[in-house]
Amino acid sequence: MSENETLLKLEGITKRFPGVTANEKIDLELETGEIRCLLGENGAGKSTLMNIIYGLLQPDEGKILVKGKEVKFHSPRDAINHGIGMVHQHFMLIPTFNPVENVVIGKGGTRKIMPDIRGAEKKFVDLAKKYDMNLNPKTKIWQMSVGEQQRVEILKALYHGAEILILDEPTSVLTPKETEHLFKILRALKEEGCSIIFITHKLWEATTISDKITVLKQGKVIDTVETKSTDAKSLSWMLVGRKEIQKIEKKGGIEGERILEVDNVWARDDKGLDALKGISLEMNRGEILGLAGVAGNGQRELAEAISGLRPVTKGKIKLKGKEITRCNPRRIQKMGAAYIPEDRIHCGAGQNLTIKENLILKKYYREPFSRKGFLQFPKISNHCANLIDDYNVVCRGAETLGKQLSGGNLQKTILARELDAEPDFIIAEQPASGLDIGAGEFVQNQLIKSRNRGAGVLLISANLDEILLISDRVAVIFEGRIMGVMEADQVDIGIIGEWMLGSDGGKKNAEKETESLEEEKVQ
Amino acid sequence: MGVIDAAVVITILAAAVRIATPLIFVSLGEIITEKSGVLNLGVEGIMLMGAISGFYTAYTFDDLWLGMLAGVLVGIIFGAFHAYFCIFLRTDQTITGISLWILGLGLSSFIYRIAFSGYFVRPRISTFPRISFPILHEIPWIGPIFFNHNILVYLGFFAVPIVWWLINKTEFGLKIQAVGEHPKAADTFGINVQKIRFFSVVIGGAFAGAGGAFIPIGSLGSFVDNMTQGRGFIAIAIVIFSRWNPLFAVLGALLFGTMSAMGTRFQVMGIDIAHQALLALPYIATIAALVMFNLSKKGKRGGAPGSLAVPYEKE
Repeated sequence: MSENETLLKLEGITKRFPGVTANEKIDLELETGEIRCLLGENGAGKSTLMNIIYGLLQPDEGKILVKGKEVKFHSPRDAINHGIGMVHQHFMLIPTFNPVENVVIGKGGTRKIMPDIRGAEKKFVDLAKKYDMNLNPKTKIWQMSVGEQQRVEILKALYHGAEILILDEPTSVLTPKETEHLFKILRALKEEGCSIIFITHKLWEATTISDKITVLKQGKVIDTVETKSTDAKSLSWMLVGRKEIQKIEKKGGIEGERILEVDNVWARDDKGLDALKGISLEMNRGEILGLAGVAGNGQRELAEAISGLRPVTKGKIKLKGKEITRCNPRRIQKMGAAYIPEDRIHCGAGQNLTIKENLILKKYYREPFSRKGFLQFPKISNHCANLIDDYNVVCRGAETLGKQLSGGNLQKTILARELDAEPDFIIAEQPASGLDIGAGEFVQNQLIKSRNRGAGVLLISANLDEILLISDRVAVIFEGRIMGVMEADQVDIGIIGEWMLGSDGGKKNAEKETESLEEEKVQ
Repeated sequence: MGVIDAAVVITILAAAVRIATPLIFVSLGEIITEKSGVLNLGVEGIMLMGAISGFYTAYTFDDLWLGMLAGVLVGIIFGAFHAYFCIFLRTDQTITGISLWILGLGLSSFIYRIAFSGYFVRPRISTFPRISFPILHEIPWIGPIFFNHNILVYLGFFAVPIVWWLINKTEFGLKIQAVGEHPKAADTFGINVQKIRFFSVVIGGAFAGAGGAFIPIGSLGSFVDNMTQGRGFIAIAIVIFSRWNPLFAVLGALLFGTMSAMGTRFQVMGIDIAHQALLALPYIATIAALVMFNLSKKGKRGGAPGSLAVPYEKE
């Protein structure tokens, strides 16, 4: 019977923020040794709910019961004391500390003047060994890989006696192999009697790891189902309210001239280390080249190097056959390039500028928007109203500030600005990340539209699904090098995965290609 | 320049150690404050307030220790003032700090004029007597330079390893670093970010008050308008130069002290350089040190706390 003991119970949890109800009358029951997936789109209220369980937010209504007793959490410390641990989406670790120091103060401290670092280190190392995690307790967090940091987070929770472990989109930053490792750890934890709440918006993860799945939508529980008795299709129906995720239609590729040539390009990152180590890429008009890879392998540096924001230390970049290696961003943009940066809040749009101002950022100085140094406001307003309509930006008018827009609408604004001039070449960096499915699809459709009219699109994304969905060719970047390029319709996920982890699957691929070429010849 | 012999060098370096002491106090405090993520540009003002209250108390009660205590207490009050504005009202830390400086500058002179109106001769106190360390002070060079000072100088240098220990080895120190690097993470740990920051700023204020009180009580024996001459700001430069490490802050303070002592000494010796240039020497050296430091700083973080001068607000 202990198997089915209810460990955590939520009754009618409601949380309102100004203007939205993030959680509405949520009920949830979690049993001992259960892995529960919380599935929902962005903004469905998953994170809010978890922050309530972890004591970071207090509910407006409703009750939380741990092991049958009602509890009130005023801070995470209370939650930790009741055996609740959380692994945040953006890791909550002090970057300048090593894991042990993080663990020691991870429960608000030990109330001793000098913490027992050595004892804690021993306990930490033992715990890491138990779950087969290879971690050096002396390495500082900022020097660790994302996967390692996540393991530190898990250990931190376990160290403080977590029986309920909440993971907020834990796989969004991991490579496929690291994800596998994480799943192994979670299963081992389950064996130990730990209950796990796993937040995700990826269907296959939910069906792979969980015992039960709870689907959230717009702050409400749609349903809770046994994983065994459901499938991806019915889940996705619950999730988005339509039959299945639409496959975006693409016209047959346009054979086009060469639009971009990147030849052995080197560049440094913000720390002054080489981030690009001899990148070479070629792109034609009318194609989408998907650049896959785990975040932080030089994608941002490449995008900035091409758009003129980052100095290139070696190598050449040509746009439409003309060298742009040392051109400034405005020059490059005038030659017909558009850039949709990953960081849409700090880099893509002005937060304190209105939509109108954001929309004309790249052409305010040109006719007809500016004449003899004076802005032509009626023309600008007209133009902006049209764009807001065309790109379906939901807002309270053109005077809305950038910071008042939701992520999706901000991204639509940026798209409108970048794509309106019908650029010949577009760099889109993680264009759909953090957006809900609807807004994400809109973004992807816009990119395909641009491709269909003959533009070259360089799509940089850490989301392999997205890349496979809309790319014509797929390239993989790892530690500043291109590991290989494949035609999208002949993609071998295994090899892509290996490339993303830096192992030399390239040889295998070369063999495969020659094989397939030979096969074609035979045929 | 044949006039510069060993005796002169020793005199200059011994003076450097004395001049460095208030800078050590203030920069130690500022390191604690900044490690917690709060920038206190107002230490110059706190120093002046510490100087006037220390001097006034010592003069009135004829007790130097009571004077130091008064300086520290006033430092705590002004530190709490800065902390309240920056942490709880989330005001701009730069502007609040500068206001604090200007407040201290005006208020200290104002208090001096009220307390000592009608004096024809500038009121003086006798400073702490020199204590020669037995045996140690007989070591050639080292002895006269380091071991022939008053008790406050020894206290200042003694505080350096203590503060280093506090920041790096104690739980309170870990918490200070945590709230200065990543306050949100610290919050999820269950650490009260605002409380830790408040105490850090208050401790920093206490150190600044002590540094200010040192100047009349441990060195000059009287109060003069704006007697800190920008040393609060020099201390902030030293903090950057030291990469927020108390052990390196000593070096920065000694560098400034040496330049300052050289300037004064050369004037006395009648060396033919414009005295304005000599007075400017320590400040020029500070700027040069900062520039060189920042040029040589290769990559990485440079040691600044990740959330320095960023107010923390729960969502």
